[in-house]
Amino acid sequence: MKKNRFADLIIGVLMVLLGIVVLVLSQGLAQAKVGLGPAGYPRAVAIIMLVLGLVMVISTLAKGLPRMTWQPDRQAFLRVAGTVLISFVYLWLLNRIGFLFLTPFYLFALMWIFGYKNLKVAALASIGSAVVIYLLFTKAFMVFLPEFSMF
Amino acid sequence: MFNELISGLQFVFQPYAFLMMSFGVMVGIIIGAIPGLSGSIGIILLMPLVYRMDSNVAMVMLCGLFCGSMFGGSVAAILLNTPGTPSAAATVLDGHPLARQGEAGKAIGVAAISSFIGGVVSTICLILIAPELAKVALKFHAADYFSLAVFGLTIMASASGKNMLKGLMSGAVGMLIATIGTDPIVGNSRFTFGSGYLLNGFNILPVLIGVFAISEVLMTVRTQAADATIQEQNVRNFFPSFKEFKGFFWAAIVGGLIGVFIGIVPGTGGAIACFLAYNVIQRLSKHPERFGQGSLEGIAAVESSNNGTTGGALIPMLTLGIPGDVVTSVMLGALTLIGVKVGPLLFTNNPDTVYTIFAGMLIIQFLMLGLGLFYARVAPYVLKISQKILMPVVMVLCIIGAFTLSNNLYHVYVAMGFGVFGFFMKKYGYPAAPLVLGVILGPMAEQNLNRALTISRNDWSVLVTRPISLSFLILSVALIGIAIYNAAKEAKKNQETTDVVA
Repeated sequence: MKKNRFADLIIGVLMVLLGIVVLVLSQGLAQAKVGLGPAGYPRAVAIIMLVLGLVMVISTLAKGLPRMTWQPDRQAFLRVAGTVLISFVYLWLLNRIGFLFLTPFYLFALMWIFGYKNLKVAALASIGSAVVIYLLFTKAFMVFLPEFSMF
Repeated sequence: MFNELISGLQFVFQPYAFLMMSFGVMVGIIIGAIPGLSGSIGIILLMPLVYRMDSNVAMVMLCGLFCGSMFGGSVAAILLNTPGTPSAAATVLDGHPLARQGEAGKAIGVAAISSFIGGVVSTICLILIAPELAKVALKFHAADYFSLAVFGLTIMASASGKNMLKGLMSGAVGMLIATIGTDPIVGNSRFTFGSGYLLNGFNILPVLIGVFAISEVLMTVRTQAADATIQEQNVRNFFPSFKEFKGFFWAAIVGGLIGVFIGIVPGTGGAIACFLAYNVIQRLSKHPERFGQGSLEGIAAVESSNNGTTGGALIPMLTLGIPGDVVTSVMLGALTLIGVKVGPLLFTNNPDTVYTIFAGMLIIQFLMLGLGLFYARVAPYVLKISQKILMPVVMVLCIIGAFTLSNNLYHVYVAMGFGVFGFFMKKYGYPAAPLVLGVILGPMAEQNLNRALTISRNDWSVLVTRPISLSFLILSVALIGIAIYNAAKEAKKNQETTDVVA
């Protein structure tokens, strides 16, 4: 609860800052004599963000100054960060190695991160799922997927 | 109307349309039955197919998925004691106790029959109400549309969680995202920072994939929850006796009507409808003591009401372009992608599309009944598949979905980025639906406000001098006022509790 209140305070401040940045950036956009023009709507959104951010900050502080009691679950953080990192590496390699050859490794790595214990089943499920998805999309749905390329 | 409906029926009975509609229902039932996946994720996963389809076929397939997922949620609720979707949360109350008594088959059968009844009731209401509402909406002025967009965002924010402020903040960020790219008024680039990719703004599909599906995968890996265990169940004798059917039929009809009413209100949905219907039917029942012990009336009330919301939620989406719930907000994003412009003009310019949806919704209910009972036989095996295998596969399907938008990885990176953003939103209790609605309704609000101000020569009073616009704005302010009042009341109550404890 306290952790959420601290997060709400930070998010409220970020919202206010983002509103200010958008207001400043919208100064550089063309102004219109009649109607909104390109700057009018972003400016209105920025003001809404500013107000909402301020309300969040004030309502959080009104309940007392929240203390930072953040004690991250290290394992959970590593699992999420690992999933995101492996996904970006997968995307980076996808056009080079191709969907069919790379995806089984990606799936296997994710299943391992998700905590699937039986590695033999995970390996079979990874290969099987990748092949089925590849055939389904390329042959049945005629969807182009990245192929292995030397260049 | 009757002739158009016949034409719609002829269309949905064409082999390809019928096949894809059945496919949508089946995928919806399977997705809905898997805890952690929902109708909105199902629509996202089917997007690679939707691009290549005739828009009318795509519409009925998505409607099939929507209805199927509503029923599918009940299968997991009955067999696993875990609702597959939030809309089936109340099915657990009576469905699982009945399953524990060795009558899982009957529980699923009653759920399927009641879903069918609720679906038919909601489709009839959709056919009767939507065209009339569209006629009224045709009289809307630009200022009315702007106020309607404001109202849609406010109501979605108010209904998307305990904290309305978080919902409004989420909606405002969505509106900001919608400003990136080429502005719709004079065509200048806005907040693109010289990037060619950003000139077209953020496409709605990677945003949807990110905040709804990838974020869910990340939430699952964070908690690394153990798979729910499924006990050996008797999933064979589906059909209740005629006496039992007579006993719950009225509950299914009333539940269906409650579902329609709740579904029409933008920003609500099956989760609210099912608990409301459950309470109402319990009060009206001759045997309220059976509720919570495996009451067939209880299952019927919940299942007919959550399927009742399907047709109800389509009414504001088709007539006003304002989605009725989270799934229809994703559906609206999908329809925007394939070029279907919903709103009152759809009824005058494309009546064939409208009546195809009406006819499709009717047939979908029969398909859901048949396929639902068929699926119930294999569900115990499907539900044994571990989430730890399923979620990585969902991740790959998300990547394919974003990739097929333009056959390059840019949109996949965008989806990944929004996935991480959506993960933090979920972690800190910021609802994702208002953000998506902000992205969808942002351009509508901007263009109509610009039009209204241009016509009125910058006279802002146009927003309050038109009765329709004024009504929407008053409703929006009232919603915010109610939320502030409730928050203050709850804070006072908490303070009093703290004082008593101290």
